[in-house]
Amino acid sequence: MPPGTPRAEAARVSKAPFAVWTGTGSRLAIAAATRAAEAAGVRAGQSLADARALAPALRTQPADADADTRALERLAAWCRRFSPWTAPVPAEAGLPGEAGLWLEITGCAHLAGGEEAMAAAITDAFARAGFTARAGIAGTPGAAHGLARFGARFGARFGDSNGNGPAAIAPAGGEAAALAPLPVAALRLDAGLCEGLDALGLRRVGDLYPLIEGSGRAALARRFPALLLERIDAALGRRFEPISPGRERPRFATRLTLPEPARAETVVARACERLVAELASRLAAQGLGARRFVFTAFDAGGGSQRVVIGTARALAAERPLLRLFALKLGRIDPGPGIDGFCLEAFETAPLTLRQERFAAAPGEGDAEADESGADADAALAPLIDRLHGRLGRRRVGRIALRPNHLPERAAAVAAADRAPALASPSPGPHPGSRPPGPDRPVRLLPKPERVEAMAEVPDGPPVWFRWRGLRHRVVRVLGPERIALDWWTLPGWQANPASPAQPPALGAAIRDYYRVETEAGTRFWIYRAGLHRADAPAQWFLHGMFP
Amino acid sequence: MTGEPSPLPSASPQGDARREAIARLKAKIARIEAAGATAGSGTPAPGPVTFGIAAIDGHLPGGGLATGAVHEIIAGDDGMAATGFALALTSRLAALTKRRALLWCGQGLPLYGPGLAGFGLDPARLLVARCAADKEALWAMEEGLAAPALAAVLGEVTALDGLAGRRLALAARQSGVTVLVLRGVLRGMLHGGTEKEASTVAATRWRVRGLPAAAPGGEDAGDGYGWRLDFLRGGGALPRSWRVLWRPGRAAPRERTAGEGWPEDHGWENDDTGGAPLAPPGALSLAPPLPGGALPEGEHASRHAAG
Repeated sequence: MPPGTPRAEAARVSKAPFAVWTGTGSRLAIAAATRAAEAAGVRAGQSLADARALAPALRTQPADADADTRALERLAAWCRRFSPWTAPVPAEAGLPGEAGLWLEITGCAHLAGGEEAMAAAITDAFARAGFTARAGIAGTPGAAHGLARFGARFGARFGDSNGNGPAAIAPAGGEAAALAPLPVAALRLDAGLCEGLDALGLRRVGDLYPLIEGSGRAALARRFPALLLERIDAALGRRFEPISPGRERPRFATRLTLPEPARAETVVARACERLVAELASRLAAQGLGARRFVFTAFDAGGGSQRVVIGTARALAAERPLLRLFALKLGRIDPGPGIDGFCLEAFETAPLTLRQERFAAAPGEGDAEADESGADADAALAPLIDRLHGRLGRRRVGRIALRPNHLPERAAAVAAADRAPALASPSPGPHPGSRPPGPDRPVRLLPKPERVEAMAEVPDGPPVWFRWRGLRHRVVRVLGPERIALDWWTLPGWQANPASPAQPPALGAAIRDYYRVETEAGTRFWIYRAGLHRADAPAQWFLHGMFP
Repeated sequence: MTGEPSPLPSASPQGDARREAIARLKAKIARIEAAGATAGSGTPAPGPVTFGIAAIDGHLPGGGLATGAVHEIIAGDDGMAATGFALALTSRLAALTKRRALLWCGQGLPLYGPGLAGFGLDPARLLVARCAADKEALWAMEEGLAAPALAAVLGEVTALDGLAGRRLALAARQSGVTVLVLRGVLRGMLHGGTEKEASTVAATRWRVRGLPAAAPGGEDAGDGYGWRLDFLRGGGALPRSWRVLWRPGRAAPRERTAGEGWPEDHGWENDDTGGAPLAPPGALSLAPPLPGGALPEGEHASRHAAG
């Protein structure tokens, strides 16, 4: 777990003494300092003036809590190379200790050759990335938290006094014993609470153990905030404390670690091929496919880059996956060098296996019978996937007809992979709805556009209209077709549903659509909004175009 | 030989051999290309798609529009007539190839689903790919050609330049899927598309413009749409223009046989493929030219200068 990220980030920037300060009003205090600055006597909590006096060469910057949080989240993502379940632990105000990361390594440690080897691998990786990190491993997040921060300094059997020793590892079930010699601050208690405990002579975690049973517990609960008992119980495993991963946990994942950072793009492609092959065979062995695949490249400097592909159908075949990844792998910038990869599969679902046409000569099957909906679905799925890969999901759609009279709501473009399958049974007509027919335009404007129009008779069709600056003379008219709007969605009604206002007059909620043909041979769908009223001019809109 | 002028190829046995070799290689290339066209995806392109109008089909080389090829349709006005023409061709392609899905790619206003029913196309099988640039649209069109389920790929681009167009034509020939390239849709009411001579990859090039469906004083055209089709080039045939009428929901008489065909009225009929309801596809018919010399029969399309 890296100590305060501002300090660590700064350490990567320079070996020169550097510190970040924070403060309100006139008191500016050092928040964190690099090792070089500490060597010069700069300490966190010092006033900025004192620090500058001690180290005249000190470069300083104001602390940026948001940037720290982001950096920590980035590191949490990077740590997914060790375990799929990671979460940042921000340094909270008033809490001793520093920002850290939680890694749920249940079931992962054996991949690195045991817990000690894994902790060593993690701290080594952090050291290479320019961070100072200490690791603690325990059966509960609370105990691991305390051991990582205080274990090396206070535990007899852990490391040297600099905190750079091997990880503090509590054996299974040994959390209580491992925590006992640590100061109470190891329980993630704020300074005020620690002082209160100190006043009672309770300085080490072990001092609290006699008090959390029986009558002592009630006394403890009376004197101190509930947080104290919560934290003790959580650290000792009497109370479940979940680690919330920032991201969804995959059901299937494969990873690959390179012996040394690589910068060639071909390495990325080869790694992707290997991981896809492995994951595909594992998925297929269970008869599963997945609809979302995330390929992550971890660089040596604490960053990670992700490429996500989604597929219309659950997929476990290697070649189509590689084709989809090939469209996007170029976005991964090897930068300083990549030394780890990970491929995860989400949204797994049983693979639907399909009988291939039996012994059909090429083209024969197609020519004989009209394809069924299922065939069309299957044939379109790879195309949809590839279009998604390049254009993005939002820009590829299928038309979904809806039982709605309003033209703009009668059809919606649904994400192509979420549209109802063609093979699914048709829901049949909606009662009262009309079938799509030739009386609908081939293009519909997203919003009806106002036109200036002149009608011969007040409630008749227009004889001419002006749209987008051009005047069109109408030579032929079909209609009108009256479409009533959903008056309950009209602004005046919707804005204040609680008031006992009357619904808007019915006349306002209709459109009279005309199909008009102009002198030039173009055809439009225009409508008059509302019924004719003597006191107001008719409002005409153009909504669509006929071929 | 030093002082002699070099002999003409035909005058020497060497030249004959060379010419033979070239002829042999040409034949070989033609064989390879022919094989490639059919062996590409295993689906040989079916015969040409016809208009159902003898006058037009007879004029086109091959008796119709070749499938598995690129056809360029230039908007003569706001592009709606060109859209309709493309959809009419698609509906005939769907009937011919027994595939009914359609991929639309372009930057502008996408097709409106319910309007497809007037062309006998199932809106649920329209795949819409909204592209940000010609380059993306051309890429999407080429991807669409790899999908065997498509009746046609309908792409709207501003220009069909040489290399991308050639790739498209090659991919179309290999897959057997027909590409209809619409140019100049919604560019403006005044201009329509401009015909740039750069692209020669399209098998045919058309310009389509809307016309009043009914001649003044003529019979009522009902639901029909009138179009003027300018055949500009393709297959060495002469440019020519026709005035046609698309009547939605009317099956072509030639293609109907007793006991089959589309229902006469628009009902929520489910066809046996389990798809959404289909309207009758409609049919093209040749309309008499407008009086007043608006479009004399057989008028050669004038070559439009830009602008």
